[in-house]
Amino acid sequence: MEFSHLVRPRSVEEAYSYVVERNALLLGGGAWLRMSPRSVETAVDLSSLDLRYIRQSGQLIEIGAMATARDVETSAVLEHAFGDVFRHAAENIVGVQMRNIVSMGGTIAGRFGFSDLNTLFLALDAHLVLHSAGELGIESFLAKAPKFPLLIEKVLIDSGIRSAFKSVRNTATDLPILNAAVALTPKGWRIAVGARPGPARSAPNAAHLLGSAETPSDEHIVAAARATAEELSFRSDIRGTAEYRRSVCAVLVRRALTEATS
Amino acid sequence: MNITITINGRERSFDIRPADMLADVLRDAGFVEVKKGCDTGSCGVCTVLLDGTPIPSCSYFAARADGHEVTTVGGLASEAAELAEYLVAEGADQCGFCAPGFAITVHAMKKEFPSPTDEQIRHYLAGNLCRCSGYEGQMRAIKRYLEASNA
Repeated sequence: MEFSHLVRPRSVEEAYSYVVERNALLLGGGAWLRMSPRSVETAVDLSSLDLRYIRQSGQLIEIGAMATARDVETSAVLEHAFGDVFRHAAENIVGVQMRNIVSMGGTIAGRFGFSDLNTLFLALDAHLVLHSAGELGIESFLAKAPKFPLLIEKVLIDSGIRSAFKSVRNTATDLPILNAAVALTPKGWRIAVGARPGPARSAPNAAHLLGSAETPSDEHIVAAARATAEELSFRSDIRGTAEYRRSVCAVLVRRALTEATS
Repeated sequence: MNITITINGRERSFDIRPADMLADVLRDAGFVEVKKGCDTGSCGVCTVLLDGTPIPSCSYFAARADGHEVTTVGGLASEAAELAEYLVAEGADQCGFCAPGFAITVHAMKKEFPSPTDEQIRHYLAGNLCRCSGYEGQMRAIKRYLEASNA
């Protein structure tokens, strides 16, 4: 990653103006971005803005764009609202050092296929609050990045959603070969799978097989897990073949559903 | 651009390129105890404390450290030397390249978990790779070091 100028805005509005007027690049944690071969004129450091928080506001959980993966992993607010699912989804992201700098805004904006947390955000039907552009569902964002200038301020999630996360990796701190998250949202069950190896995708048809029951039967769980593997597409890469991912998908989704319903 | 960082308690000023990484700035300034390994934030040998929090300095833009405190293993000299004695005693000291990063991370872990379980130690240190020892020696050394520290 190369840039010629680094600016440190004093407000979100000022940061956004650099994006609009100079096509500047926003720096989240910078951990993944710095490995990019990109070269830009201006980068914007968001670290001095008040975007690092995790808090409850009524029924909503708000995660600021500069909250780190370690913040998410250790947050008492998230543990109270969702149990240990965020800890499980974050704890294998490289090492504690990287988790101390990886930001949620950067994780989402990068639409990284290997992201564990984006898969969980997708299952939880999270919404992004975009500066000057209202809210956008993460499902839409991960499917296709908007063309307009973008500054993610925070992530919103309904609190108290029952959910579970599973992944398979070659070693504890390696990137996932595949990950899966399930959640019982107010609109019904959602199933999301990531590291396919592209960005996470949901499987609405498979989730529909679970109905709205809080505790679907084992038969329905197995059927939904198998249907997820059929509904989604997979590709081969250095970490695994498409066939392997499809096989593992059914297993991870079944385990996640079993955990979420137990 | 000019930045000022307090390194191991002493304020230092640097003229850097905006995209320079912290590990490079530190090493160029003589803090060669900050090692460079994978250069992707995965191996932990470049670990330093930023305002007390362990970060991979190879993956952190130096400009962001402006106005902050950075601690290398040189800033934890006596504590690191104490840990090193246990590493040697337990045969976990082969090439030593990973040791500065381990010492920094152990220091941070001790603050967060004064009496960690084996699982907590393994999890907290999972981002510090060692190509020599197989980790069992380090586990024994770290546990003995913590026991002695807490005694």
